[in-house]
Amino acid sequence: MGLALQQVELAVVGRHLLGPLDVIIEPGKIATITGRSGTGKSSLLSYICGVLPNDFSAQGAILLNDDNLTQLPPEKRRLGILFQDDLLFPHLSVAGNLAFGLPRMQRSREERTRVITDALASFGLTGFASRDPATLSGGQRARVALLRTLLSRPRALLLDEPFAHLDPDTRSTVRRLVVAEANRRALPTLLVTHDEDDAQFADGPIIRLRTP
Amino acid sequence: MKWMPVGILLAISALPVGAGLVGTIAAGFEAQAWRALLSTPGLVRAVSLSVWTGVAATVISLLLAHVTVALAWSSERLVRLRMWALPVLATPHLALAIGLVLLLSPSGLLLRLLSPWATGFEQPPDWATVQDSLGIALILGLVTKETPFLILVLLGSLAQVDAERLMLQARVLGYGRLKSWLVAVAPLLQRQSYLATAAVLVFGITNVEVALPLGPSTPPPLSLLLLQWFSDAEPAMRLRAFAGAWLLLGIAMLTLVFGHFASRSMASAWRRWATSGRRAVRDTPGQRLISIPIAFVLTLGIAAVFALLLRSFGGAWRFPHVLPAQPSLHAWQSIAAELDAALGPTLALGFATAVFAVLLVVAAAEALHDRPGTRGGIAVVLFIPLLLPQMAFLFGLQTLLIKLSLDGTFLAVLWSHLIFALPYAWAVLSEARVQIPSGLPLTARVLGSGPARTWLLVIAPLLTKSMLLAAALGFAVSVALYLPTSFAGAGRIATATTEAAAAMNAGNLRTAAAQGVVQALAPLLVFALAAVLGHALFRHRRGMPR
Amino acid sequence: MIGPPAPAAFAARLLKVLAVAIFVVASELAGSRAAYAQSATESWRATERSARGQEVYFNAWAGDVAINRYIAWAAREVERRYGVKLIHVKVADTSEAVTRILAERAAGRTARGSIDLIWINGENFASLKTSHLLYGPWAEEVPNARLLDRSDPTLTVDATIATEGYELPWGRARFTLFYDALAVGDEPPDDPKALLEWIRAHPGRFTYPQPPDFIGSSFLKQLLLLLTPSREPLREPVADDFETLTRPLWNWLDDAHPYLWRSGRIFPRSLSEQRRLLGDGEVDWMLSFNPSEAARAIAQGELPDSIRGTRFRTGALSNSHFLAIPFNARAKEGAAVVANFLISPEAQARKADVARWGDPTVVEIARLSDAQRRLFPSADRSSARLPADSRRLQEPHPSWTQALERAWAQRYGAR
Repeated sequence: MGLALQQVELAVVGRHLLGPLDVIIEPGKIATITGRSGTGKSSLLSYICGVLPNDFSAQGAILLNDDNLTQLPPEKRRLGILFQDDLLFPHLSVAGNLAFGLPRMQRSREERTRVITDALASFGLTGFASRDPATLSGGQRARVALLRTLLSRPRALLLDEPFAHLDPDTRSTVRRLVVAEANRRALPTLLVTHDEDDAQFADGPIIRLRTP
Repeated sequence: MKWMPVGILLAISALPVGAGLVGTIAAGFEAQAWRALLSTPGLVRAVSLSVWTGVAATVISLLLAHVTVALAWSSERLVRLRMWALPVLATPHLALAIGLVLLLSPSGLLLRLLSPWATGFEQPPDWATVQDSLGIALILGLVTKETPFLILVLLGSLAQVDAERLMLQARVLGYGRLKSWLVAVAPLLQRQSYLATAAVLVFGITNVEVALPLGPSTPPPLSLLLLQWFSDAEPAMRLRAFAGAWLLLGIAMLTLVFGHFASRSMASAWRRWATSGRRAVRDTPGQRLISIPIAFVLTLGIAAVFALLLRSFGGAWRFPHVLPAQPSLHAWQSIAAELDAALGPTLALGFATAVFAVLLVVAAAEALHDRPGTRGGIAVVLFIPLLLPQMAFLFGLQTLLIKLSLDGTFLAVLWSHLIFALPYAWAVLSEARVQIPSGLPLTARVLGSGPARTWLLVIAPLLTKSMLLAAALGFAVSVALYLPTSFAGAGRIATATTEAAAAMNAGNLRTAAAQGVVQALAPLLVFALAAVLGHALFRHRRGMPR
Repeated sequence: MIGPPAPAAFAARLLKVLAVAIFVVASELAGSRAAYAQSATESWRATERSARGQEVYFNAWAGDVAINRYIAWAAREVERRYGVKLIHVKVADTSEAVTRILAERAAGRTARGSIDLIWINGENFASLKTSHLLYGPWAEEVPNARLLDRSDPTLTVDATIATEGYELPWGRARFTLFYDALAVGDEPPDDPKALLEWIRAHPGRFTYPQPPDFIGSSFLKQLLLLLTPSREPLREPVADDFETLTRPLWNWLDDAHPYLWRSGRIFPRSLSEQRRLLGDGEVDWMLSFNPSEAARAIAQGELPDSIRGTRFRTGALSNSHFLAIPFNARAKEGAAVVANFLISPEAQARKADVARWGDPTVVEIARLSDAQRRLFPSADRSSARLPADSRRLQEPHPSWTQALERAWAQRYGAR
């Protein structure tokens, strides 16, 4: 159960980058990957998502709850990813962004709207539905981005330095929120960061990558 | 001082267009001209043909371009896409259209390959596969050329948005490539692709190069009627042509406005689709289905160039032989001498256009890199010549040049080429300059480097690839221009394109084909050179802009 | 002697004076004729001297490779012999050049025009001449003009407009129909009725270039001349009886069009395109003014050697094409020198050579010396095999061309 990386090895242009890596992340637990720039942290996340660029080569399996994701296209992997840029679509409202994350399962528009309103409320963002994302503060945007990802019912969470652009106060608030949600929904989470506080807060296994 | 390049840029573009329009507008005020125009048989058909083919071609090209980029989404495939698109882009419209005729007409390569074993034809069937009255062949010709163009525009503007991560975000949320592209990235590219799409639409409605070989002739689209009337010896016909140019201009503008509002009204429908939650993940067989028309269009362009090559060698080529019976170098021998004469001006004009366009735009982009409003204004001014039917202002321009005693000079032709090359150079270089993080030159200045040195050592290298691309584009545009060269040059400056057009107009397909191949080779080589150079320089530095 | 002289003596004196006077005047005249001839030669030599070093921009239709090569040859010769640089400005249609001259006049450029010599005839010539845009008269002054075939009226009357020395004849033309003998047989139709029957029996195999293409319009004129109830009015400007006179033509076309190539919905753009269609096997016919058209194409491998030529038995449309100098030409002397060369026996012979261009000469062979005569190819008995000498029909008044084109566009230009 959970997210497992088996013998994952990455190389770029023939040069070995990282691995072989063996990690098992249990549901609700947060594993942290740290390392200096260039150690392949983001590349590892790309590989897990299934969008590794061509000049990279990789081996090793990715398993999620006993499903082998390695050959699946990104849209079929049922993962969730958050970047340091919230990547909210500027041409859709907050509600539009969230609706984008919602699965098709909800039938009627009213039902979907209800789900979105409830979700916003649960994150303290009542009344933000019709807002333009550009008018939100950094912390609010981070919360909307998290919400969008969570609404898509991912089976695991990948976090690529998601707090890097936030000021210290907002940072700790959002961080706490993310960890709480990961725990609550029992999502195995992989956090990539170079911030030691983040690693400590995650309170899970820490993998330190060395410069190759 | 810093504003001089901007001023020059504006003068180059705005002056002749303004003068030309004034000339045309003045001439178009005669009621007699309008009466003559409105009495043209088949005028309504001609106008609807122009609009229908222009709009259909633009919509199809835009759709295909978006779908292609979306489905090809992965950096290697995008690079390969660029490689496919460039040869077709480099081939001038006229040459490509001729190639399509040689491919698709009843006595063309396609049917020859299939006859008589598959079709049973011993003689070419009496089908209207080209010049059909609905304009389907014309639309196909336009789509073949404009789809790669729009693809390149989309690819070029990708650097502005964090396309890779936006796509990844959408895909991880469960969406297939096409919908991810259309929701997450495409809307952000609207600004850049807007002008390009408008130019494609206007070209579709007002072009002569593609309509001549492929479009219907009873009646032809309005632009071809204008061409006939403008070159008629009878003054009454020419007067009618000026009124017609007004009409064409009006139609093009109206269609643009209509298109603008149509796309706006689709916004809410789009939003509903975007937020419906439907993932639109196509299974592989379904995706393969969509890629058929894309592959078809892209290969059609290449096949057309191939047909050109084949025909240029042909002697007698009786149906249904696939290869000419007595391949001869006749056409090549005959143009070898003329090539000598035309090659010089073609290359000189091409290089001069490329160099001046790049220099001017780079200087202006530098001056305006922090003023988005002015940049937008300049872009519009520069794009106006692309948005107007060429004939609408070329006649007025010719009169101006004669008055200034400049007609027939190299300078005049260079000027007219610059008018059409500047928008492309601007589109590439202005954005590239804006992309350079302001921190970089700032750091250099703080470190004590003067403005010139900073530009040379910090900014210029980052612009290298874009400068090469802009230069190649400028060259290609210059080589392909027919009407401007003919008007401004007063017939004294002969380029490969004027030769090809004269041959085409005479229906001399073999010479036209040979000239067409030559016409395509020059820009192709330049593009290849630019690509190689761009790749070779700084290849050891991964952080350079693409 | 005192008193009035005797009448006889007076008469004798008078006669003597008259004789002397006549002698003086005659010798003056003779002398001045000689002097005139001498001064003509001298003025021509002066022209040649002024021409040396000039650049002559020759605007000539460039749709045929053979013609372009011929002009290139002429350029080399003219440079070698007279030091004149001849530059062939390739135009897709002569009216392009006409438009430019008009534009220059409109812009006030009365000297240093961009065109020095123009290849022209028919309505284009009429347009320029009536607008006083041509330099002249000059054509009779060039030395080689004495070699022209004066028996042919088309050399001095261009589509009912007298040339009056404003243009110099360069070549001649007769309307010819070429056909594939393998498809049409050895007895081709040679009058409109028979042609119509053939067309109806062979749908999709005949066509003609779309008017206002030169050949297409000429086809209309050719048919009109044969079908019209009366030819006299055609020499005058178009009048009210246009409909009556052209009715048979439209009837013929109405009957033929449904059976034409592409059912008469699409037409080839020009002779060159139709030549390609003939070569590719899409049609069986080709129309042209140049009797050697097919022979040349066969020699160059563009057409199969089963192509033959024929003319309408009761009369073939005939005309000539000319060289003219615009009013504002920069290099008038150079242009005249070039024109003179182009109608020289050597140049005309080479032009008439089927292997090169095959355009019939305007020179009267009888006036040539033996050596000059030998330059010319023997009568063309090649596979084109044209009927010996069908009647020459002259071009109608230029207004008829425009009227026909307009009427054709009205009826068939938009379906």
